[in-house]
Amino acid sequence: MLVQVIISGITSGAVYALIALGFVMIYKAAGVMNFAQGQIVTLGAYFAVTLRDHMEFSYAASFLSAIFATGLLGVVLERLLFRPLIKAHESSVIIATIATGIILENVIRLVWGSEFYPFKTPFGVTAIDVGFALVTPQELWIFGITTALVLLLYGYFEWTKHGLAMRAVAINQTGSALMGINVGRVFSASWGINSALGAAAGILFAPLLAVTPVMGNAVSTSAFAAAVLGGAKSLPGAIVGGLTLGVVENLVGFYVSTALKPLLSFTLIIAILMVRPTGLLGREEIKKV
Amino acid sequence: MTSRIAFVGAIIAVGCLPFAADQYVLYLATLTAIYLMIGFSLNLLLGYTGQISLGHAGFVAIGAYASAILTKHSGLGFGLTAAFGAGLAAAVGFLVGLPALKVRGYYLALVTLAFGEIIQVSIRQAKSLTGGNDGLNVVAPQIPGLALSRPHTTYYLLWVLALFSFLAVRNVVRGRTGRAFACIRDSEIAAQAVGISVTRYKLYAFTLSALLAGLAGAMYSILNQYIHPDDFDFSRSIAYLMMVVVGGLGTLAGSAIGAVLLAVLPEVLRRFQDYQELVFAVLLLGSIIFVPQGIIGLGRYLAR
Repeated sequence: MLVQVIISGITSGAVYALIALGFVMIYKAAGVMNFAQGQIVTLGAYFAVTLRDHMEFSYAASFLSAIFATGLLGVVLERLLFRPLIKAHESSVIIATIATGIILENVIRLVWGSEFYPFKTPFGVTAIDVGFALVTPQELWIFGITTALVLLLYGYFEWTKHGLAMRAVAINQTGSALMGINVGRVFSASWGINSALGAAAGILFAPLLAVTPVMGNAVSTSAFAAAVLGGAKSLPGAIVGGLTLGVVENLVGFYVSTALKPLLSFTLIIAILMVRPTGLLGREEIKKV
Repeated sequence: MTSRIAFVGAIIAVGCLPFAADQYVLYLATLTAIYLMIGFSLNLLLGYTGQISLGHAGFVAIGAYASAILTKHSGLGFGLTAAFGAGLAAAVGFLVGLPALKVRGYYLALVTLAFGEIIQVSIRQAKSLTGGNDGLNVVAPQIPGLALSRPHTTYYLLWVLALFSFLAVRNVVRGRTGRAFACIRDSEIAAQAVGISVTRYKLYAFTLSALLAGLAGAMYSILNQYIHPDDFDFSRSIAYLMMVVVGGLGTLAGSAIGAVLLAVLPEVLRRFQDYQELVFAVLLLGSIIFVPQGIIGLGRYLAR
Protein backbone atom coordinates (compact mmCIF):
# COMPACT_ATOMS: atom_id res chain seq x y z
CA MET A 1 0.00 0.00 0.00
CA LEU A 2 2.83 2.38 0.86
CA VAL A 3 4.28 2.02 -2.63
CA GLN A 4 0.87 2.72 -4.12
CA VAL A 5 0.48 5.90 -2.08
CA ILE A 6 3.96 7.03 -3.06
CA ILE A 7 3.28 6.38 -6.75
CA SER A 8 0.11 8.44 -6.81
CA GLY A 9 2.09 11.07 -4.87
CA ILE A 10 4.68 11.14 -7.61
CA THR A 11 1.91 11.60 -10.17
CA SER A 12 0.63 14.77 -8.53
CA GLY A 13 4.23 15.69 -7.77
CA ALA A 14 5.10 15.58 -11.46
CA VAL A 15 2.26 17.97 -12.23
CA TYR A 16 3.35 20.28 -9.39
CA ALA A 17 6.86 20.17 -10.76
CA LEU A 18 5.68 21.26 -14.23
CA ILE A 19 3.78 24.22 -12.82
CA ALA A 20 6.60 25.07 -10.43
CA LEU A 21 9.07 25.02 -13.33
CA GLY A 22 7.07 27.65 -15.21
CA PHE A 23 6.71 29.64 -12.03
CA VAL A 24 10.46 29.59 -11.33
CA MET A 25 11.31 30.44 -14.94
CA ILE A 26 9.19 33.54 -14.99
CA TYR A 27 10.55 34.57 -11.61
CA LYS A 28 14.14 34.13 -12.71
CA ALA A 29 13.88 35.68 -16.15
CA ALA A 30 11.30 38.41 -15.67
CA GLY A 31 11.47 38.89 -11.90
CA VAL A 32 7.74 38.33 -11.57
CA MET A 33 6.09 35.90 -9.19
CA ASN A 34 2.98 34.87 -11.02
CA PHE A 35 -0.01 34.51 -8.73
CA ALA A 36 -2.27 33.87 -11.74
CA GLN A 37 -0.65 30.50 -12.35
CA GLY A 38 -3.62 28.49 -11.09
CA GLN A 39 -6.03 30.17 -13.48
CA ILE A 40 -3.68 29.62 -16.41
CA VAL A 41 -3.58 25.91 -15.55
CA THR A 42 -7.37 25.86 -15.46
CA LEU A 43 -7.66 27.72 -18.75
CA GLY A 44 -5.39 25.21 -20.48
CA ALA A 45 -7.65 22.37 -19.38
CA TYR A 46 -10.76 24.23 -20.60
CA PHE A 47 -9.19 24.84 -24.00
CA ALA A 48 -8.37 21.16 -24.35
CA VAL A 49 -11.78 19.95 -23.19
CA THR A 50 -13.54 22.31 -25.58
CA LEU A 51 -11.38 21.40 -28.55
CA ARG A 52 -11.74 17.69 -27.96
CA ASP A 53 -15.32 17.28 -26.84
CA HIS A 54 -17.01 20.09 -28.74
CA MET A 55 -14.87 20.55 -31.84
CA GLU A 56 -13.95 16.91 -32.28
CA PHE A 57 -10.18 17.36 -32.27
CA SER A 58 -8.14 14.26 -31.52
CA TYR A 59 -6.52 14.07 -28.07
CA ALA A 60 -3.07 14.84 -29.45
CA ALA A 61 -4.30 17.76 -31.54
CA SER A 62 -6.33 19.27 -28.69
CA PHE A 63 -3.40 18.78 -26.29
CA LEU A 64 -0.99 20.62 -28.58
CA SER A 65 -3.39 23.37 -29.68
CA ALA A 66 -4.46 24.08 -26.10
CA ILE A 67 -0.83 24.35 -25.00
CA PHE A 68 -0.07 26.64 -27.92
CA ALA A 69 -3.13 28.84 -27.32
CA THR A 70 -2.39 29.19 -23.61
CA GLY A 71 1.25 30.00 -24.33
CA LEU A 72 0.12 32.69 -26.74
CA LEU A 73 -2.19 34.09 -24.09
CA GLY A 74 0.78 34.25 -21.72
CA VAL A 75 2.70 36.35 -24.24
CA VAL A 76 -0.29 38.65 -24.71
CA LEU A 77 -0.68 39.06 -20.93
CA GLU A 78 2.98 39.97 -20.62
CA ARG A 79 2.84 42.55 -23.42
CA LEU A 80 -0.42 44.12 -22.26
CA LEU A 81 -0.22 44.02 -18.49
CA PHE A 82 3.20 43.20 -17.14
CA ARG A 83 5.52 45.05 -19.51
CA PRO A 84 4.14 48.41 -18.28
CA LEU A 85 4.87 47.32 -14.71
CA ILE A 86 8.48 46.44 -15.37
CA LYS A 87 9.79 49.22 -13.15
CA ALA A 88 6.90 49.13 -10.68
CA HIS A 89 7.20 48.14 -7.03
CA GLU A 90 6.97 44.42 -6.26
CA SER A 91 3.68 44.89 -4.42
CA SER A 92 2.13 46.37 -7.56
CA VAL A 93 3.22 43.40 -9.64
CA ILE A 94 1.85 40.98 -7.04
CA ILE A 95 -1.49 42.76 -7.00
CA ALA A 96 -1.54 42.89 -10.81
CA THR A 97 -0.97 39.14 -11.19
CA ILE A 98 -3.62 38.37 -8.56
CA ALA A 99 -6.11 40.66 -10.29
CA THR A 100 -5.29 38.98 -13.61
CA GLY A 101 -5.97 35.60 -12.03
CA ILE A 102 -9.35 36.71 -10.71
CA ILE A 103 -10.24 38.17 -14.10
CA LEU A 104 -9.28 34.92 -15.85
CA GLU A 105 -11.31 32.85 -13.39
CA ASN A 106 -14.37 35.03 -13.88
CA VAL A 107 -14.01 35.04 -17.65
CA ILE A 108 -13.87 31.24 -17.48
CA ARG A 109 -17.09 31.25 -15.43
CA LEU A 110 -18.77 33.54 -17.95
CA VAL A 111 -17.72 31.52 -20.98
CA TRP A 112 -18.04 27.96 -19.68
CA GLY A 113 -20.33 28.33 -16.67
CA SER A 114 -19.71 26.91 -13.23
CA GLU A 115 -20.66 23.27 -13.84
CA PHE A 116 -17.85 20.80 -14.24
CA TYR A 117 -16.69 19.15 -17.42
CA PRO A 118 -15.45 15.58 -17.15
CA PHE A 119 -12.29 15.05 -19.16
CA LYS A 120 -11.97 11.41 -20.17
CA THR A 121 -8.50 9.96 -20.42
CA PRO A 122 -7.89 8.50 -23.88
CA PHE A 123 -5.89 5.59 -22.48
CA GLY A 124 -8.49 3.52 -20.70
CA VAL A 125 -8.74 3.05 -16.97
CA THR A 126 -7.47 -0.51 -16.49
CA ALA A 127 -4.47 -0.35 -14.20
CA ILE A 128 -1.26 -1.97 -15.35
CA ASP A 129 0.67 -4.21 -12.94
CA VAL A 130 4.30 -3.14 -13.01
CA GLY A 131 5.39 -5.73 -10.47
CA PHE A 132 5.45 -3.72 -7.27
CA ALA A 133 2.35 -1.62 -7.77
CA LEU A 134 -0.62 -0.86 -9.99
CA VAL A 135 -0.27 2.14 -12.29
CA THR A 136 -2.99 3.62 -14.47
CA PRO A 137 -2.12 4.49 -18.07
CA GLN A 138 -2.89 8.15 -17.35
CA GLU A 139 -0.29 8.12 -14.58
CA LEU A 140 2.27 6.63 -16.94
CA TRP A 141 1.36 9.28 -19.49
CA ILE A 142 1.87 12.02 -16.87
CA PHE A 143 5.32 10.66 -15.97
CA GLY A 144 6.26 10.34 -19.63
CA ILE A 145 5.14 13.80 -20.75
CA THR A 146 6.62 15.48 -17.70
CA THR A 147 9.97 13.82 -18.26
CA ALA A 148 9.88 14.73 -21.95
CA LEU A 149 9.00 18.36 -21.21
CA VAL A 150 11.73 18.64 -18.59
CA LEU A 151 14.31 17.23 -21.03
CA LEU A 152 13.03 19.58 -23.74
CA LEU A 153 13.42 22.55 -21.39
CA TYR A 154 16.88 21.39 -20.39
CA GLY A 155 17.92 21.20 -24.02
CA TYR A 156 16.41 24.60 -24.69
CA PHE A 157 18.36 26.25 -21.91
CA GLU A 158 21.56 24.35 -22.57
CA TRP A 159 21.88 24.30 -26.34
CA THR A 160 19.81 27.03 -27.95
CA LYS A 161 20.61 30.70 -28.37
CA HIS A 162 17.24 31.72 -26.90
CA GLY A 163 17.83 29.57 -23.86
CA LEU A 164 21.24 31.13 -23.38
CA ALA A 165 19.69 34.60 -23.67
CA MET A 166 17.15 33.67 -21.04
CA ARG A 167 19.84 32.46 -18.67
CA ALA A 168 21.82 35.63 -19.25
CA VAL A 169 18.82 37.85 -18.50
CA ALA A 170 18.18 35.89 -15.32
CA ILE A 171 21.70 36.71 -14.17
CA ASN A 172 21.94 40.33 -15.21
CA GLN A 173 19.31 42.29 -17.10
CA THR A 174 21.31 45.40 -17.88
CA GLY A 175 24.35 43.43 -18.89
CA SER A 176 22.28 41.26 -21.21
CA ALA A 177 20.68 44.29 -22.81
CA LEU A 178 24.14 45.77 -23.43
CA MET A 179 25.20 42.52 -25.10
CA GLY A 180 22.38 42.96 -27.60
CA ILE A 181 19.85 40.61 -26.05
CA ASN A 182 16.29 41.73 -26.54
CA VAL A 183 15.26 41.61 -22.89
CA GLY A 184 11.61 42.34 -23.62
CA ARG A 185 11.42 39.36 -25.94
CA VAL A 186 12.94 37.17 -23.23
CA PHE A 187 10.23 38.33 -20.83
CA SER A 188 7.55 37.48 -23.39
CA ALA A 189 9.12 34.10 -24.04
CA SER A 190 9.27 33.27 -20.33
CA TRP A 191 5.58 34.12 -19.94
CA GLY A 192 4.79 32.07 -23.03
CA ILE A 193 6.71 29.01 -21.84
CA ASN A 194 5.34 29.36 -18.33
CA SER A 195 1.76 29.45 -19.58
CA ALA A 196 2.35 26.56 -21.96
CA LEU A 197 3.78 24.46 -19.11
CA GLY A 198 0.82 25.41 -16.93
CA ALA A 199 -1.61 24.38 -19.66
CA ALA A 200 0.19 21.06 -20.11
CA ALA A 201 -0.06 20.44 -16.38
CA GLY A 202 -3.76 21.30 -16.44
CA ILE A 203 -4.52 18.94 -19.31
CA LEU A 204 -2.47 16.13 -17.77
CA PHE A 205 -4.20 16.51 -14.43
CA ALA A 206 -7.72 17.07 -15.79
CA PRO A 207 -8.75 13.38 -15.96
CA LEU A 208 -7.80 12.93 -12.30
CA LEU A 209 -9.92 15.88 -11.17
CA ALA A 210 -12.71 17.41 -13.21
CA VAL A 211 -12.48 20.61 -15.19
CA THR A 212 -14.01 23.39 -13.05
CA PRO A 213 -13.27 27.12 -12.81
CA VAL A 214 -11.27 26.54 -9.61
CA MET A 215 -9.56 23.34 -10.73
CA GLY A 216 -6.09 24.89 -10.92
CA ASN A 217 -6.18 26.79 -7.64
CA ALA A 218 -5.30 24.05 -5.17
CA VAL A 219 -2.87 22.48 -7.62
CA SER A 220 -1.02 25.72 -8.13
CA THR A 221 -0.90 26.44 -4.40
CA SER A 222 0.93 23.16 -3.99
CA ALA A 223 3.14 24.16 -6.92
CA PHE A 224 3.97 27.46 -5.16
CA ALA A 225 4.96 25.53 -2.08
CA ALA A 226 7.01 23.18 -4.27
CA ALA A 227 8.81 26.09 -5.89
CA VAL A 228 9.53 27.68 -2.51
CA LEU A 229 10.72 24.34 -1.21
CA GLY A 230 13.15 24.17 -4.10
CA GLY A 231 14.35 27.72 -3.63
CA ALA A 232 12.03 29.64 -6.02
CA LYS A 233 14.96 30.40 -8.30
CA SER A 234 16.25 26.94 -9.05
CA LEU A 235 14.86 24.84 -11.91
CA PRO A 236 16.15 21.50 -10.55
CA GLY A 237 14.83 22.67 -7.18
CA ALA A 238 11.35 23.05 -8.65
CA ILE A 239 11.40 19.45 -9.86
CA VAL A 240 12.75 18.07 -6.59
CA GLY A 241 10.34 20.26 -4.62
CA GLY A 242 7.37 19.21 -6.74
CA LEU A 243 8.01 15.48 -6.41
CA THR A 244 8.77 15.73 -2.69
CA LEU A 245 5.66 17.73 -1.98
CA GLY A 246 3.47 15.41 -4.04
CA VAL A 247 4.65 12.37 -2.11
CA VAL A 248 4.53 14.01 1.33
CA GLU A 249 1.06 15.40 0.64
CA ASN A 250 -0.22 11.99 -0.32
CA LEU A 251 1.37 10.27 2.67
CA VAL A 252 -0.13 12.84 5.04
CA GLY A 253 -3.48 12.56 3.30
CA PHE A 254 -3.46 8.80 3.54
CA TYR A 255 -1.97 8.14 6.96
CA VAL A 256 -2.94 11.23 8.94
CA SER A 257 -5.96 13.08 7.59
CA THR A 258 -7.17 14.39 4.27
CA ALA A 259 -8.35 17.54 6.05
CA LEU A 260 -4.71 18.39 6.68
CA LYS A 261 -3.78 18.19 3.01
CA PRO A 262 -4.63 21.78 2.08
CA LEU A 263 -2.95 23.06 5.25
CA LEU A 264 0.28 21.27 4.43
CA SER A 265 1.37 23.49 1.54
CA PHE A 266 0.60 26.67 3.43
CA THR A 267 2.35 25.63 6.62
CA LEU A 268 5.27 24.45 4.55
CA ILE A 269 5.54 27.83 2.78
CA ILE A 270 5.65 29.68 6.08
CA ALA A 271 7.98 27.17 7.74
CA ILE A 272 10.50 27.20 4.89
CA LEU A 273 10.50 30.96 4.56
CA MET A 274 10.97 31.30 8.31
CA VAL A 275 13.84 28.87 8.59
CA ARG A 276 15.47 29.22 5.20
CA PRO A 277 14.00 32.06 3.15
CA THR A 278 15.93 31.01 0.06
CA GLY A 279 14.51 27.49 0.04
CA LEU A 280 16.23 24.15 0.36
CA LEU A 281 18.37 24.47 -2.76
CA GLY A 282 18.44 28.26 -3.05
CA ARG A 283 21.46 30.40 -2.45
CA GLU A 284 21.54 33.43 -0.17
CA GLU A 285 20.87 36.62 -2.08
CA ILE A 286 22.97 39.63 -1.29
CA LYS A 287 21.31 42.93 -2.05
CA LYS A 288 23.57 45.56 -3.52
CA VAL A 289 22.84 49.15 -2.66
CA MET B 1 -7.55 73.80 3.93
CA THR B 2 -9.74 71.92 1.46
CA SER B 3 -8.97 68.68 3.25
CA ARG B 4 -10.07 70.22 6.55
CA ILE B 5 -13.34 71.38 5.00
CA ALA B 6 -13.83 67.93 3.48
CA PHE B 7 -13.21 66.32 6.87
CA VAL B 8 -15.70 68.53 8.71
CA GLY B 9 -18.19 68.03 5.88
CA ALA B 10 -17.80 64.28 6.13
CA ILE B 11 -18.33 64.34 9.90
CA ILE B 12 -21.51 66.38 9.53
CA ALA B 13 -22.77 64.09 6.77
CA VAL B 14 -22.07 61.02 8.87
CA GLY B 15 -23.77 62.59 11.89
CA CYS B 16 -26.91 63.53 9.98
CA LEU B 17 -27.25 60.45 7.80
CA PRO B 18 -29.39 58.31 10.18
CA PHE B 19 -32.13 60.96 10.10
CA ALA B 20 -32.47 60.75 6.34
CA ALA B 21 -31.66 57.12 5.56
CA ASP B 22 -33.78 54.00 5.58
CA GLN B 23 -32.73 50.84 7.37
CA TYR B 24 -30.77 49.42 4.46
CA VAL B 25 -28.79 52.56 3.67
CA LEU B 26 -28.04 52.82 7.36
CA TYR B 27 -26.68 49.27 7.31
CA LEU B 28 -24.43 50.09 4.36
CA ALA B 29 -23.22 53.24 6.09
CA THR B 30 -22.40 51.23 9.21
CA LEU B 31 -20.57 48.71 7.06
CA THR B 32 -18.59 51.59 5.58
CA ALA B 33 -17.31 52.45 9.05
CA ILE B 34 -15.99 48.89 9.39
CA TYR B 35 -14.39 49.00 5.95
CA LEU B 36 -12.84 52.31 6.92
CA MET B 37 -11.09 50.71 9.88
CA ILE B 38 -9.89 47.82 7.74
CA GLY B 39 -8.76 50.28 5.10
CA PHE B 40 -6.71 52.29 7.62
CA SER B 41 -5.29 49.05 8.94
CA LEU B 42 -4.17 47.75 5.54
CA ASN B 43 -2.99 51.14 4.38
CA LEU B 44 -0.82 51.44 7.45
CA LEU B 45 0.88 48.23 6.43
CA LEU B 46 0.97 48.44 2.62
CA GLY B 47 0.74 52.16 1.94
CA TYR B 48 2.88 53.52 4.75
CA THR B 49 5.27 50.71 5.61
CA GLY B 50 5.39 48.95 2.23
CA GLN B 51 4.57 45.51 3.65
CA ILE B 52 2.05 43.61 1.58
CA SER B 53 -0.68 41.51 3.18
CA LEU B 54 -2.68 39.07 1.09
CA GLY B 55 -4.38 37.61 4.15
CA HIS B 56 -5.83 40.64 5.83
CA ALA B 57 -9.25 39.03 6.07
CA GLY B 58 -7.53 36.55 8.40
CA PHE B 59 -6.98 39.26 11.01
CA VAL B 60 -10.55 40.44 10.63
CA ALA B 61 -11.70 36.85 11.08
CA ILE B 62 -9.72 36.41 14.29
CA GLY B 63 -11.26 39.55 15.78
CA ALA B 64 -14.75 38.53 14.73
CA TYR B 65 -14.59 34.91 15.88
CA ALA B 66 -12.64 35.53 19.09
CA SER B 67 -15.05 38.20 20.31
CA ALA B 68 -18.14 36.26 19.23
CA ILE B 69 -17.00 33.03 20.87
CA LEU B 70 -16.04 34.79 24.07
CA THR B 71 -19.38 36.59 24.23
CA LYS B 72 -21.20 33.31 23.71
CA HIS B 73 -19.36 31.33 26.39
CA SER B 74 -18.49 33.87 29.05
CA GLY B 75 -21.26 36.43 29.07
CA LEU B 76 -18.67 39.17 29.44
CA GLY B 77 -19.58 42.68 28.36
CA PHE B 78 -19.24 43.81 24.80
CA GLY B 79 -16.33 46.17 25.43
CA LEU B 80 -14.26 43.41 26.98
CA THR B 81 -14.93 40.83 24.29
CA ALA B 82 -14.22 43.29 21.50
CA ALA B 83 -10.97 44.23 23.22
CA PHE B 84 -10.13 40.54 23.53
CA GLY B 85 -10.80 39.97 19.81
CA ALA B 86 -8.68 42.92 18.80
CA GLY B 87 -5.94 41.95 21.26
CA LEU B 88 -5.79 38.39 19.98
CA ALA B 89 -5.62 39.66 16.39
CA ALA B 90 -2.79 41.98 17.43
CA ALA B 91 -0.89 39.09 19.02
CA VAL B 92 -1.28 37.06 15.85
CA GLY B 93 -0.27 40.11 13.83
CA PHE B 94 2.93 40.26 15.86
CA LEU B 95 3.58 36.60 15.02
CA VAL B 96 2.91 37.18 11.31
CA GLY B 97 5.27 40.14 11.52
CA LEU B 98 8.10 37.84 12.58
CA PRO B 99 8.57 36.21 9.15
CA ALA B 100 8.30 39.71 7.66
CA LEU B 101 11.60 40.49 9.35
CA LYS B 102 13.24 37.85 7.19
CA VAL B 103 11.30 37.96 3.97
CA ARG B 104 10.03 40.79 1.82
CA GLY B 105 8.21 41.44 -1.42
CA TYR B 106 7.03 38.28 -3.12
CA TYR B 107 7.93 36.03 -0.24
CA LEU B 108 6.02 38.15 2.22
CA ALA B 109 3.06 37.97 -0.13
CA LEU B 110 3.32 34.17 -0.02
CA VAL B 111 3.57 34.12 3.78
CA THR B 112 0.55 36.37 4.31
CA LEU B 113 -1.42 34.47 1.69
CA ALA B 114 -0.62 31.24 3.50
CA PHE B 115 -1.57 32.83 6.82
CA GLY B 116 -4.99 33.86 5.53
CA GLU B 117 -5.66 30.40 4.14
CA ILE B 118 -4.55 28.68 7.35
CA ILE B 119 -6.97 30.81 9.37
CA GLN B 120 -9.68 30.04 6.82
CA VAL B 121 -9.15 26.27 6.94
CA SER B 122 -8.82 26.28 10.74
CA ILE B 123 -12.14 28.08 11.18
CA ARG B 124 -13.86 25.61 8.88
CA GLN B 125 -12.34 22.66 10.72
CA ALA B 126 -12.84 23.75 14.34
CA LYS B 127 -16.58 23.09 14.14
CA SER B 128 -17.26 22.78 17.85
CA LEU B 129 -15.93 26.27 18.49
CA THR B 130 -16.67 28.21 15.33
CA GLY B 131 -19.61 26.33 13.85
CA GLY B 132 -17.50 25.56 10.78
CA ASN B 133 -19.36 25.92 7.50
CA ASP B 134 -22.68 26.45 9.31
CA GLY B 135 -21.47 29.81 10.50
CA LEU B 136 -21.88 31.24 13.97
CA ASN B 137 -24.76 33.22 15.40
CA VAL B 138 -23.53 36.16 17.42
CA VAL B 139 -25.29 37.09 20.61
CA ALA B 140 -26.18 40.77 20.48
CA PRO B 141 -24.05 42.39 23.16
CA GLN B 142 -25.50 44.59 25.86
CA ILE B 143 -23.97 47.78 27.08
CA PRO B 144 -25.61 49.45 30.06
CA GLY B 145 -27.58 52.41 28.77
CA LEU B 146 -26.96 51.50 25.13
CA ALA B 147 -29.25 49.04 23.42
CA LEU B 148 -26.93 47.84 20.68
CA SER B 149 -29.54 45.93 18.78
CA ARG B 150 -30.89 49.23 17.60
CA PRO B 151 -29.28 50.06 14.27
CA HIS B 152 -28.81 53.74 15.12
CA THR B 153 -26.77 53.00 18.21
CA THR B 154 -24.58 50.54 16.33
CA TYR B 155 -24.15 53.09 13.58
CA TYR B 156 -22.95 55.84 15.91
CA LEU B 157 -20.79 53.52 17.97
CA LEU B 158 -18.99 52.23 14.89
CA TRP B 159 -18.49 55.64 13.39
CA VAL B 160 -17.06 56.93 16.66
CA LEU B 161 -14.67 53.97 16.64
CA ALA B 162 -13.79 54.66 13.01
CA LEU B 163 -13.10 58.29 13.89
CA PHE B 164 -10.86 57.24 16.76
CA SER B 165 -9.03 54.81 14.47
CA PHE B 166 -8.56 57.61 11.98
CA LEU B 167 -7.11 59.95 14.59
CA ALA B 168 -4.89 57.21 16.01
CA VAL B 169 -3.50 56.14 12.65
CA ARG B 170 -3.08 59.73 11.54
CA ASN B 171 -1.08 60.50 14.67
CA VAL B 172 1.09 57.46 14.13
CA VAL B 173 1.85 58.16 10.48
CA ARG B 174 2.44 61.87 10.96
CA GLY B 175 4.93 61.43 13.76
CA ARG B 176 8.34 59.94 14.19
CA THR B 177 6.95 56.42 13.76
CA GLY B 178 5.36 57.33 10.46
CA ARG B 179 8.66 58.69 9.16
CA ALA B 180 10.36 55.47 10.21
CA PHE B 181 7.65 53.49 8.40
CA ALA B 182 8.11 55.53 5.23
CA CYS B 183 11.86 55.08 5.41
CA ILE B 184 11.50 51.31 5.73
CA ARG B 185 9.08 51.31 2.80
CA ASP B 186 11.46 53.25 0.56
CA SER B 187 14.68 51.50 1.53
CA GLU B 188 15.24 49.11 4.38
CA ILE B 189 18.98 49.44 4.06
CA ALA B 190 18.85 53.23 4.26
CA ALA B 191 16.56 52.90 7.29
CA GLN B 192 19.08 50.70 9.04
CA ALA B 193 21.88 53.05 8.09
CA VAL B 194 20.22 56.01 9.81
CA GLY B 195 19.59 53.97 12.93
CA ILE B 196 15.95 53.00 12.54
CA SER B 197 15.26 49.64 14.14
CA VAL B 198 13.63 47.84 11.21
CA THR B 199 12.68 44.95 13.48
CA ARG B 200 10.86 47.12 15.95
CA TYR B 201 8.97 49.23 13.44
CA LYS B 202 7.96 46.35 11.21
CA LEU B 203 6.57 44.44 14.18
CA TYR B 204 4.88 47.63 15.36
CA ALA B 205 3.24 48.11 11.96
CA PHE B 206 2.02 44.51 11.80
CA THR B 207 0.72 44.52 15.37
CA LEU B 208 -1.10 47.83 15.07
CA SER B 209 -2.54 46.91 11.70
CA ALA B 210 -3.79 43.56 13.01
CA LEU B 211 -5.23 45.26 16.10
CA LEU B 212 -7.32 47.58 13.95
CA ALA B 213 -8.39 44.78 11.62
CA GLY B 214 -9.35 42.63 14.64
CA LEU B 215 -11.37 45.46 16.11
CA ALA B 216 -13.13 45.88 12.77
CA GLY B 217 -13.82 42.14 12.80
CA ALA B 218 -15.38 42.29 16.27
CA MET B 219 -17.59 45.14 15.06
CA TYR B 220 -18.52 43.19 11.95
CA SER B 221 -19.74 40.32 14.09
CA ILE B 222 -22.08 42.51 16.12
CA LEU B 223 -23.33 44.38 13.07
CA ASN B 224 -24.33 41.22 11.20
CA GLN B 225 -25.02 39.07 14.28
CA TYR B 226 -23.91 36.15 12.18
CA ILE B 227 -20.45 35.26 10.84
CA HIS B 228 -19.41 32.68 8.29
CA PRO B 229 -15.95 31.62 7.01
CA ASP B 230 -16.92 32.96 3.57
CA ASP B 231 -16.98 36.48 5.04
CA PHE B 232 -13.23 36.23 5.56
CA ASP B 233 -11.92 34.33 2.55
CA PHE B 234 -9.22 35.20 0.05
CA SER B 235 -11.58 37.21 -2.12
CA ARG B 236 -12.31 39.47 0.87
CA SER B 237 -8.58 40.03 1.36
CA ILE B 238 -8.40 41.05 -2.29
CA ALA B 239 -11.45 43.29 -1.94
CA TYR B 240 -9.64 45.07 0.92
CA LEU B 241 -6.58 45.45 -1.28
CA MET B 242 -8.77 46.96 -3.97
CA MET B 243 -10.14 49.38 -1.42
CA VAL B 244 -6.76 50.81 -0.44
CA VAL B 245 -5.14 50.62 -3.88
CA VAL B 246 -8.00 52.17 -5.84
CA GLY B 247 -8.52 54.80 -3.15
CA GLY B 248 -4.84 55.63 -3.00
CA LEU B 249 -1.99 54.06 -1.08
CA GLY B 250 -0.38 56.10 1.65
CA THR B 251 -3.29 58.48 2.12
CA LEU B 252 -6.01 58.00 4.70
CA ALA B 253 -8.50 59.98 2.62
CA GLY B 254 -7.88 57.43 -0.11
CA SER B 255 -8.87 54.60 2.22
CA ALA B 256 -12.05 56.49 3.08
CA ILE B 257 -12.97 56.80 -0.60
CA GLY B 258 -12.10 53.13 -1.07
CA ALA B 259 -14.29 52.13 1.88
CA VAL B 260 -17.31 53.94 0.47
CA LEU B 261 -16.60 52.33 -2.90
CA LEU B 262 -16.38 48.85 -1.38
CA ALA B 263 -19.68 49.30 0.46
CA VAL B 264 -21.58 50.89 -2.41
CA LEU B 265 -20.23 49.02 -5.46
CA PRO B 266 -21.92 45.68 -4.66
CA GLU B 267 -25.23 47.56 -4.48
CA VAL B 268 -24.66 49.31 -7.79
CA LEU B 269 -23.72 45.97 -9.31
CA ARG B 270 -26.55 44.09 -7.66
CA ARG B 271 -28.21 43.30 -10.98
CA PHE B 272 -24.91 41.97 -12.25
CA GLN B 273 -24.04 39.78 -9.29
CA ASP B 274 -21.94 37.45 -11.43
CA TYR B 275 -19.75 40.28 -12.58
CA GLN B 276 -19.00 41.76 -9.18
CA GLU B 277 -15.69 40.02 -8.60
CA LEU B 278 -14.72 40.72 -12.20
CA VAL B 279 -15.39 44.44 -11.79
CA PHE B 280 -13.33 44.53 -8.57
CA ALA B 281 -10.42 42.82 -10.27
CA VAL B 282 -10.59 45.05 -13.36
CA LEU B 283 -10.67 48.15 -11.14
CA LEU B 284 -7.70 46.87 -9.20
CA LEU B 285 -5.67 46.01 -12.29
CA GLY B 286 -6.59 49.23 -14.09
CA SER B 287 -5.68 51.25 -11.05
CA ILE B 288 -2.30 49.54 -10.62
CA ILE B 289 -1.35 50.03 -14.28
CA PHE B 290 -2.84 53.41 -15.13
CA VAL B 291 -3.27 55.31 -11.85
CA PRO B 292 -0.88 53.80 -9.30
CA GLN B 293 -1.58 56.73 -6.97
CA GLY B 294 -5.27 55.86 -6.81
CA ILE B 295 -8.27 58.17 -6.92
CA ILE B 296 -6.69 60.61 -4.47
CA GLY B 297 -3.53 60.82 -6.55
CA LEU B 298 -5.59 61.31 -9.70
CA GLY B 299 -7.54 64.09 -7.99
CA ARG B 300 -4.35 65.82 -6.89
CA TYR B 301 -2.93 65.51 -10.39
CA LEU B 302 -6.04 67.03 -11.97
CA ALA B 303 -6.18 69.81 -9.40
CA ARG B 304 -2.68 70.97 -10.26
